[in-house]
Amino acid sequence: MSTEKENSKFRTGSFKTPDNYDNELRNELQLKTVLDAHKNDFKVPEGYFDSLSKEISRKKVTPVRSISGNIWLRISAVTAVAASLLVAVLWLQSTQECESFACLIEQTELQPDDLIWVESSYIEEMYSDELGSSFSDEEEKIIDLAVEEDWDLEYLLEE
Amino acid sequence: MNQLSEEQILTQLKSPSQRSRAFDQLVLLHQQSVYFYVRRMVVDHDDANDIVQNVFIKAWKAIDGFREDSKISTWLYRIATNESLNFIQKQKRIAGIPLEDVEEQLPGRLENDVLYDGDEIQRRLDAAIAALPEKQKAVFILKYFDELKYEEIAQITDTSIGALKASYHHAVKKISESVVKG
Repeated sequence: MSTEKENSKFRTGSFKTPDNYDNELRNELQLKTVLDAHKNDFKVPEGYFDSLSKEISRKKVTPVRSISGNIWLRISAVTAVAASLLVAVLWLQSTQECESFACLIEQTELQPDDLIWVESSYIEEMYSDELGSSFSDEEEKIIDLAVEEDWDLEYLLEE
Repeated sequence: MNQLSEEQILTQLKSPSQRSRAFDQLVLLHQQSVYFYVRRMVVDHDDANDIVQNVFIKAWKAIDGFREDSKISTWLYRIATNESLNFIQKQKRIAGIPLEDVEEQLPGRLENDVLYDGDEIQRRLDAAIAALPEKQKAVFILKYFDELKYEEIAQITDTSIGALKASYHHAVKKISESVVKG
């Protein structure tokens, strides 16, 4: 009849375990028990995954428009918006007494011939240029007004 | 709508006319696993929601570059890992909170989180996971909760299998000490 000690020797043979292995194994098994009992305690709002897939589907067909990470482009964009607002305010103030195109022309040094440049494609090109335009503020007021109200420039120049 | 298998989705992704629908199927197939992985990484639902949306939008934009040298789920986990690690780094830079404080504060935060219903042990466990160094945390979650093989985790994290095993072992040890010993 073999003793308990002999049985133990038979089970382990000459294989050894690292120091403190028993403790580590016991801890790991306890942890496994805890983890298995709590595999997912994070919750999501009701219907979340339905709305998530729809939101992703919507975003992938409508890419979010964003300005690139370039700080100078961001500054330019902010400056352009601020300048447009300022021009609009100044224009409103300066044109309060003007009701005719001639009056507006008089308020600036812009010559009617200069307006040959005031065409949508040119304006777009000019504003897309990071260097900005070479027009004065007063001239830009006229250009803004012309673009905004879609004036018939050829007709005006003929006049 | 019947869900397609990963192989069927991959085939359809190559066809321009079917690509968009196939990608929607891909989202349906993987959104939960990606979400819960990210959620465990960042804990907060709103943060996880933002990151998961970014993950799939980035995947959609880069789908042409997917070379099929790994499973598509592995590729998604890789994007999710990068996004989560970037988010955590950014948060740390902004808040400057040391990891030890995260472990101390998180159980309290989770207790008040309506989208969390863990008990005290679970809160301690999640706090211990949250306090792990980011990459160790990613390895632990991918191995334990997502049950991925070391080969896959190696592809996701760009780390050798030996280093992953060591990392996982350290993570288990730290979590055991926090949770079991209390």
